[in-house]
Amino acid sequence: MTDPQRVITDRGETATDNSGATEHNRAVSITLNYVLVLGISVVLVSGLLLAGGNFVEDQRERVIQSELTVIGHHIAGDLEQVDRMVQAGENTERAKIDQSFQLTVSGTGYDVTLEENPDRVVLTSVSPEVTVDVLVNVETDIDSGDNRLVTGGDFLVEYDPDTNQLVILDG
Amino acid sequence: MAYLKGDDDRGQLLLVTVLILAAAFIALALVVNSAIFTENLATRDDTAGAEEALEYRAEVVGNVEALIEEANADSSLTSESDLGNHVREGTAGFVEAERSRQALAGQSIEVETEDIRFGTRIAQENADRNLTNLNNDADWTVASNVDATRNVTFTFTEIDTFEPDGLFGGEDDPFLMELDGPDGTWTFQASSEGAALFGVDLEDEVAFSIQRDGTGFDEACVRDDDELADGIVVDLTAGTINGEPCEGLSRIQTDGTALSFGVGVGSPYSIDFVNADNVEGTYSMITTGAQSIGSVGNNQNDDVPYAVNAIYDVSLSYLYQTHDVVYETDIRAAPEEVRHD
Repeated sequence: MTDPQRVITDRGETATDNSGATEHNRAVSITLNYVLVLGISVVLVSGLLLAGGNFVEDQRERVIQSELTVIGHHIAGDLEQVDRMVQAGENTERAKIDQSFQLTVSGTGYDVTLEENPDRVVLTSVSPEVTVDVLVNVETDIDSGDNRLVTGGDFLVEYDPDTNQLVILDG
Repeated sequence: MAYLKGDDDRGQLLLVTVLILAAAFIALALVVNSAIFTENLATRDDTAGAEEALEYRAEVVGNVEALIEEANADSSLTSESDLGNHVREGTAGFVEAERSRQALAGQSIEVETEDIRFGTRIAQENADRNLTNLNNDADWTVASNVDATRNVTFTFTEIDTFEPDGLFGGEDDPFLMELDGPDGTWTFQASSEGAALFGVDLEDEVAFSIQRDGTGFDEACVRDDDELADGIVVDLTAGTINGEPCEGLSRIQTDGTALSFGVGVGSPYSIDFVNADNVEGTYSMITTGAQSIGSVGNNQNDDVPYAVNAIYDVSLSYLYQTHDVVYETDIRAAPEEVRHD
């Protein structure tokens, strides 16, 4: 006659299964239980966190894009205003506009540069990297030669009479 | 199955997840805050003073042009220094008057009269006289060696240029104002009968037109000759007749070139009147250059044509400054001048 079923409970005790009312833990490993549970939980939780993180990141990029667009339009407006000043006068010696914006957009810094063909203001945020182009409509040439990067914050839009170009500098 | 009974370690994973998600949402809140700020930034106006720099420049030009016209019209100002002082003092006056208001607004404006270019105003005020010179020459040189002319206005009270010859024939000797320069010629014509030129019967009408280097008078401004009784005002530099623009006097041609007063002539040039005995009325023009004037009087009078000192243009330096905007440039005031750039 075989022994009554011996079970190893998780308390490490053995119990005699006579009544049939005890647990049935055949071929079950407690470690495996934990691993499975943790594994599934980790997958679910990380999935949730990933989605949440992506969502926030997405929103952040969109906000950065719209902020850069707004700043870009202001700078473009300044460029066009300086251009108007240059066209209206004869031998304009100085024409400049100083404008300040916030140093960061949604927590990241940004750079501004001018490009030609078509004439535009290009704003780039540092991280995440978002680039925005704003077209400008000016008669005077734009100085895009050095592809000078101007970091965010104070901007100076200036006319350089020596080169007859519009230039953007740190304010 | 995991053992869940008895211990107090429930839902720790859930708690951790939720905490991390909460942190993510707080970050989202900051991002949304940034978005709201962007909306506010978008509604802001451009830098204070940027537009005023240009607007005030236009005001200064307008004021100085008014001073020039005032000085030229004042017959008591005859010498160049008198005319010049009138403009200089007037300019300094209105700039000074604005100073305290500007200081309160945070603006600083400096306007200095740099240079005044003088010229001659050649005019006739007698509406019943023909347009000949003092010697009554029908064809005469009004001025030669002229660099530029502005504000050329005629008021015709009589135009009678048709010489009948037989029943159906005749010849038209239109009144011409010719500008003859190194690059070409430019002509203004006033005529009372244009059948010979246009192939159209223009009785009881008068026609004004311009041409350049002999490229035909292809458009004309026609008026009833009843209007001569009140005087037809022809402003050549503005291209208007009695204040209304007329394409016959100033237009863009089909090939894109502009046909306005004195275009394509070069400088210096001479101004001639031809057949000046066929028309009557008044005229006025302001010329400048190393010029020699035809045979006219020396003083402003209401009888015979005369030539007196006048201001042709004034150059000024203009500086507008506020905390954020600087605009320094030269401006030139020359009322009713046609620029050929």
